[in-house]
Amino acid sequence: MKLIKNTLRDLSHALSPKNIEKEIRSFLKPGSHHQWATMVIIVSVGFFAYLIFLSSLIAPDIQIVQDRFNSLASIYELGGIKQFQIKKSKLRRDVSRTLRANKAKRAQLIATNISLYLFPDLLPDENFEKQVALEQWLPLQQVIEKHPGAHQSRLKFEEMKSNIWNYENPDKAAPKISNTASTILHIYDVMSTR
Amino acid sequence: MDGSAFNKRRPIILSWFLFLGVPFALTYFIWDWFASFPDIQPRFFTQSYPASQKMRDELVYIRQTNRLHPENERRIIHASLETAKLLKVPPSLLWCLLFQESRLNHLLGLDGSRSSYGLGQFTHFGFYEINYQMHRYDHAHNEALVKLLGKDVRPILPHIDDPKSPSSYFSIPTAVVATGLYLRNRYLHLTRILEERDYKYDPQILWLYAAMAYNKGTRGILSFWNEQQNQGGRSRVKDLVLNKKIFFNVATQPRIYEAGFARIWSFQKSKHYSKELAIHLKNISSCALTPQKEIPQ
Repeated sequence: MKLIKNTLRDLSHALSPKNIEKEIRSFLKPGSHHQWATMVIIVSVGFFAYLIFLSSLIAPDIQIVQDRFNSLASIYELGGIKQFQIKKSKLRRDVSRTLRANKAKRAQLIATNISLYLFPDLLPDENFEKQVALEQWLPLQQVIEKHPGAHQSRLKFEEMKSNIWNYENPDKAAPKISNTASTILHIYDVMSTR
Repeated sequence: MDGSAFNKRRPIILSWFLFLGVPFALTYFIWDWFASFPDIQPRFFTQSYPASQKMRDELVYIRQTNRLHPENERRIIHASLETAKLLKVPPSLLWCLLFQESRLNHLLGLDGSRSSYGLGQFTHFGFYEINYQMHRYDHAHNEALVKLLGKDVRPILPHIDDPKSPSSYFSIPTAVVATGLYLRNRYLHLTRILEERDYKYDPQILWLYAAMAYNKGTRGILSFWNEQQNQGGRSRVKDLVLNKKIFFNVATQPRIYEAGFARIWSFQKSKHYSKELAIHLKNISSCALTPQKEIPQ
């Protein structure tokens, strides 16, 4: 209690107008240690902030992103829903960076397709497919992740499967869906049964 | 104005009445006559289908080789007209879609050798949508089903053991109604997406896109629009959904869809699906539309 009182007292003294004026005068004095110290702190903080900003621009290799996406189902099987959500969150970060920073066509395609089926909010609003994803499978995925292995999750999975097949299938004679869609269905098939 | 003043002015008032009233009445009657006169412009969707000579010849051939029984043909025509009327689908488009998908063979796939069934070549996921998801597109669809088939016959499935059952997709009226509903769902979905983005569109062009989505999936169409938007901005997409001339100049070229499909499929598959989609559109257009030269631009 006494320590808190002393700390508060020192803080109120430090932040008093008189003290602030004194500090400013001391800082403005050319060559003062105070000035140098402040500049060093500002430059260091600014440098680290710049490093953090640069790191957000660097996208991981797209093959790594693809592999992380492909391994989500086995991550769930081995580590359960918590591990899955951690890895999914990291994948989201990678996909987001790829969309922002990796302008290679292949990388953009892969990241966009993964976003469509897992992170549609990362897609730009002009994308015609975004709303479809937000309505037709994102809510169903959220229910499945909240209640993995439950009967209602299985029903939601069947609905999602139908939505995606109706949405994508280009060939009635030989029905098929894209690899990304197929992987997504595999992930949530596993999650809705175990 | 007293009576004597009115009597003096009566001829003038009468003259003004005739001078203004007669032209007005004449104009109104002429307008009314034109408004109720049968259309003097050819319709976009033809009332006489198939429109193309090639398809008419093919239809004659199918009849002559006993692949289409007259009674079945009559039932298909009747069901497609009733369905089109209630669902506000262009009748020629619905009939031509059935012709394109199955050559009007309502038992196609009965032997279980195919992944798709009947008149509209439905897959299992198509049945799921009709059976459980109609409310997503239009709440009135449930009522339409009852009005057209007498009762709610769902779940509709490809009942191989009882093809004549009203719940079987091999039953002609059921197949036609289900196909009409599925086609309309594609139309409603595409128009809703455009409206959410404040795009104006020509409903007749959107019906053609709906037929394309029926064949190649809605994703193919949206990927096409995304790609066109990337290349030419909003105005490019606006032209493709609003301007018939631009739509037909562009949309019938196979290569135009490749970039959109390449977002989803491999290079080879993209080329293949692009070509198929362009052919599908050409066939549907030549069957369901008044020949282009007659349509005013």
